[in-house]
Amino acid sequence: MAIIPYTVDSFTGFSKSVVEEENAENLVCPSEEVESANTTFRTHSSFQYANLVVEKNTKKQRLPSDPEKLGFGRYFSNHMIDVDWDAKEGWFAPHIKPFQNFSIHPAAKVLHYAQTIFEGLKAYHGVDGKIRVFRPELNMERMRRTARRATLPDFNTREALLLIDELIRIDADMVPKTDKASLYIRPMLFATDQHLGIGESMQAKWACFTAITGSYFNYDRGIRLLADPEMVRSWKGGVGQYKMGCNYAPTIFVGKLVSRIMAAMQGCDQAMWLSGEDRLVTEAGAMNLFMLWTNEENELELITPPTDSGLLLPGITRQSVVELAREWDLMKVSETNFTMDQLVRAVQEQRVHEFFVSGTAANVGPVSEILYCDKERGVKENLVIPTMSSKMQLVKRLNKTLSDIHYGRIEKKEWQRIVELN
Amino acid sequence: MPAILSRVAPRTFTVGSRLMASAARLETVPREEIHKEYDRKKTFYHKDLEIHLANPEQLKTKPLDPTKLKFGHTYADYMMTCDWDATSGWHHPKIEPIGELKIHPGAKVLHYASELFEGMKAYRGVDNKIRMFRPEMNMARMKRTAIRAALPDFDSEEMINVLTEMLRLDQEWVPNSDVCSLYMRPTLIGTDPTLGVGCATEAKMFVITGPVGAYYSTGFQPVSLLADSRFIRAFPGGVGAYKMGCNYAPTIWVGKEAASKNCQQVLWLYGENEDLTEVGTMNIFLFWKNEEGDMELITPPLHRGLILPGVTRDSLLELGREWGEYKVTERTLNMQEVKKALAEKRLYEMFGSGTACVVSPVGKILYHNKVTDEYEELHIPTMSSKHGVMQKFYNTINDIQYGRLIKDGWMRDI
Repeated sequence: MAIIPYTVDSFTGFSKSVVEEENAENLVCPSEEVESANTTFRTHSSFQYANLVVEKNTKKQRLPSDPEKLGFGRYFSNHMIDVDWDAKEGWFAPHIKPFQNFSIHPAAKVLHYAQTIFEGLKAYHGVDGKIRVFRPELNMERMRRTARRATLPDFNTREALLLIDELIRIDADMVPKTDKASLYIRPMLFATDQHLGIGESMQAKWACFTAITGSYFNYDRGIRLLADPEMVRSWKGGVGQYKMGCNYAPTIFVGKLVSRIMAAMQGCDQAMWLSGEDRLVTEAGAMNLFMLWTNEENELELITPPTDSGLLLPGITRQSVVELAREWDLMKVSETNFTMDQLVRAVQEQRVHEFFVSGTAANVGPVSEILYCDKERGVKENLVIPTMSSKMQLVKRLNKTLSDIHYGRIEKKEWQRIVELN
Repeated sequence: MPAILSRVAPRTFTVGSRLMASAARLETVPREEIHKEYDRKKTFYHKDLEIHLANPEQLKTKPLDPTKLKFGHTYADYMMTCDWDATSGWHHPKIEPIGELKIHPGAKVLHYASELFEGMKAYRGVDNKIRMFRPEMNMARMKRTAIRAALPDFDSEEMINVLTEMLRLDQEWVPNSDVCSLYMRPTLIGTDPTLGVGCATEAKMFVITGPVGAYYSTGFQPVSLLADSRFIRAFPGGVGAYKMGCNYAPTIWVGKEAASKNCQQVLWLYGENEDLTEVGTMNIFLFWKNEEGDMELITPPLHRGLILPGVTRDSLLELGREWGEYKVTERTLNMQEVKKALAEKRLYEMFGSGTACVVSPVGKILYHNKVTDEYEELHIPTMSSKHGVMQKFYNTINDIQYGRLIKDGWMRDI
């Protein structure tokens, strides 16, 4: 044991992942202005884009020219949005500042009681050179619903979108100029109150940063899922339909188990979450799921579990797939529950044509196998789904259409928010 | 330096007293715990501890009247931190002046609630000795939770030794009062910045402490509970039995609902039969005459994974069984049974148990009847009970914690 007396340098940083904070001198606006912005513009209903203070980062990271080497979330943006809130004063002026570590009090509620929520959305560099964000207003509205459930402060969707636009504009050269990658945007809101009592936080922080993302999954083999009713993600009366951090922590260990169980097989392993005695199919990993099948009434049907059960997250990609499929009108589209029994029978009778997951990171990803293990019922079988060889090629078509909309190859204005560049 | 040393008891830093302290510990620690190979993949070590002393200006003024201190509002001078990464394991633990943590915006804790904690207390006894109450129970639970949360494991005794060191430094923060204590909050968070939901490759253990005042400054205050099975705390296959941060966030909104109906706490029900599971963040106990006519103390069982195995819960069960004055049972209990017993005047006491308050009497339940969709008020006669079961638990635990009563193996001397 070493006892180190106090010296000026003895109080050092903490995390290995500390970002160097060397940009403080690179303020674009004079610091007096920052201060006045901090004290003058406090608003209760929402932070305001008009009050934005920007501190430019003069350092730029060097990015690999080969888009294949960008990885998922390996390169963080040069800037971030940081807005503070407190119950008395309301929202403070938003800041865009060089990407840096947060300073968080060790008693902050977020570190103890998981009072944190987030969103995930993406910006794409289009074939016409324009940057498009995919349906961001849906993310912001979901974030606000989640904030209410998490007893965190509300804000205005439009103001948040203007801030995100600005962040993308400032880091525009971070948006990969390829249709194989995109800029992932991660807004977050968490409780910073320094009191350990469990309760509503009197202080909070809204922040947003971005990171370059390549492809999340390798789709060549299809995704394999493990369905085991002992692994439970959400329950009626819980918060499964909200994007709260607390829904994710318990799944990490399950993900570890899944990869251990399925280590013998190759491919992307995810848990398929079942619910209740009926073994309702709900989600896979952190994604929604779809099945294209010939149902018991002999109709061709695209089916996905409904969101009104409160058990699953209402995904933006999920909603987009449902809307596109209804537009195309090639089959019946239903938001209805289906059970493992129905799925097993349909696979045996060769009525399942395609099975796929949807999410912002994954887009739509084909599922090739589902390993169903149900100890209680003594079931263990591997369901092989012919998604990859399906004649209808719905997954491929959805992927192409979504990607065309993302990268501006086809126009669907209400789904594409264009970030005007200076 | 002398000024600082006089504040923090110089005796702590001499080798002699250190050896004596560890020798004293050897008697209580099982042998296999002592002789272990040095492996930082498995744990951090007390012997690697670095203490960074505060400069005099960093030391805070201690509150004049500790009995008035609210929970979690005042913190002592020092905190402990220890980093971990998947490649090299645990780094050296540090005790340093309390200060803000630098956390990467992408850190797992901020997004996926990769976090867990413990709550435990140190007490200044009537003999002026400082003691921790059953710390090995908290550490065992913390280790179990760490595995479930996919965060790194560590050795209980190493951690307790580090906590002991913290208490030596901050000993003046342990209030000199038999209604106050020093609350200790060990916390473990995932810190690596990765956007994928997966195992943390970097983590940080930290401990902060703070004095807390009297929970009952004007005698027991019975609480009102909102019992509404439309809200749940935990479910089978979930993590209700672990002290993970994620169990708490969803309860805050429900707590607000309860407050809007003039209830201080939520009585968490589970399932079709509306089984009682927990109250607020406490375990629940009921003292009644059962249908067979036996006097019985009941608390719900742990096996379904819906209930946090509380240290106070365990202590009350052990004391109750030791006394042998009534039957002590761990079994599932539902709202219909409670209502029936109340109607038949067989229910005498209902109380919560937890580290913060030891016991907390229940005076009223506002029950949402799911069939009629109406609220029913159930009055629980805890405060007028002649049996004094809760009161005896409270007195006994307090006596043990403040050194008026010896219970072998429960108190750890500093």
